[in-house]
Amino acid sequence: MSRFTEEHIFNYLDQKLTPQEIAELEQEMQNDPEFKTRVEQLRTSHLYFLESQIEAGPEKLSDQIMAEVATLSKNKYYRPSGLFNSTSFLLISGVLTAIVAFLSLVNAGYVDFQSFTFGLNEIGIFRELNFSDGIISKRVINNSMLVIYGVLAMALLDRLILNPMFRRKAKQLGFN
Amino acid sequence: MSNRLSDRELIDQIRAGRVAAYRTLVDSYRDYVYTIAYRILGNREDAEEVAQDSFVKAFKGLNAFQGQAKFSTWIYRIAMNTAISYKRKRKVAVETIEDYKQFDRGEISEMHQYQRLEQKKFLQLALNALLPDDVSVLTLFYFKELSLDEMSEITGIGVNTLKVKLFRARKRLSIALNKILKQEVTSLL
Repeated sequence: MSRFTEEHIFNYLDQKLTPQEIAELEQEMQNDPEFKTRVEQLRTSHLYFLESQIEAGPEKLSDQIMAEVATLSKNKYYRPSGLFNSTSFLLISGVLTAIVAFLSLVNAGYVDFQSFTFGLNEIGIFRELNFSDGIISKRVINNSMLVIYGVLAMALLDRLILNPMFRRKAKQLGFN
Repeated sequence: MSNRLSDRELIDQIRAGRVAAYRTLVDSYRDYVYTIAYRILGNREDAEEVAQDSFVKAFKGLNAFQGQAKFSTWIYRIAMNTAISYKRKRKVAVETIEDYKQFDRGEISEMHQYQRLEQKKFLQLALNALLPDDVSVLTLFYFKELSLDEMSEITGIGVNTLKVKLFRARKRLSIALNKILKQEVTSLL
């Protein structure tokens, strides 16, 4: 039984052995015909793979890919920047959530508009709504929150259900 | 010196809307992607379909592509996964020696060409007997320009596990190939 393992043989085939190790392994091949057969068997598959070159893909393949890519990029559902699909959706959701959180604090009485240095009651719309009247201001805030919740709900409905559903339909019908 | 833009620059151009720049990437990696698909599937028609599908998938996912990875490792991973998934879903027909002749473009002597075709045929027959994961690892290993770290990134297997997997795959390939060669010798006698 040879002291050389198959790992040694693979390292020999990959030219990772030192000159001394190579000499020892080759000496072993001369002395042990069984070991030589093992090396030759592993060498065969190694050489077959090495000599089988990279397969040349059909030249028309590039044209086919580019034709499909061109169709994709023309599709109105496809946005190459990807900004709207991911980042801006998160950004808009974040801003709306922040507004809702702020309005909730106002509604709960944690924020006093009178103490704002820019004088919110002096701003046209708030003056007209008589913002200092607690009842009106709470109603306005509640309505605003409802509208924002509605927008968030519709955005989520669109991104999570409607958009994927229409994309699937479009794909089935061959639009992309 | 080559004036070719780097993959990173090409991707930036594509993201900016110059879709035609994608062709340079396709031409650079077409043969490698096709080879991965062909080695796993053992059939040129299917390999062509998988290669096309892989490049289209890569285009669709370009926005999600992170700059830390090389485009080559990313497209190889897509090709490998697409081919493996394709093989699992469909029954792929194996080519005959005549198919190999038809597609060979080498300008070498007839004898050498015949030998090479035979080698290709036997290699592919042996590969067909292996699991797709083994074929993927072997194909990437013999691409030569890939480091073990890159292979690990493509296959999603840790470097140490990959070394073991590669070692076993090479042994299995050797066993499968020698079995085929023995059968061939026996049939000639």
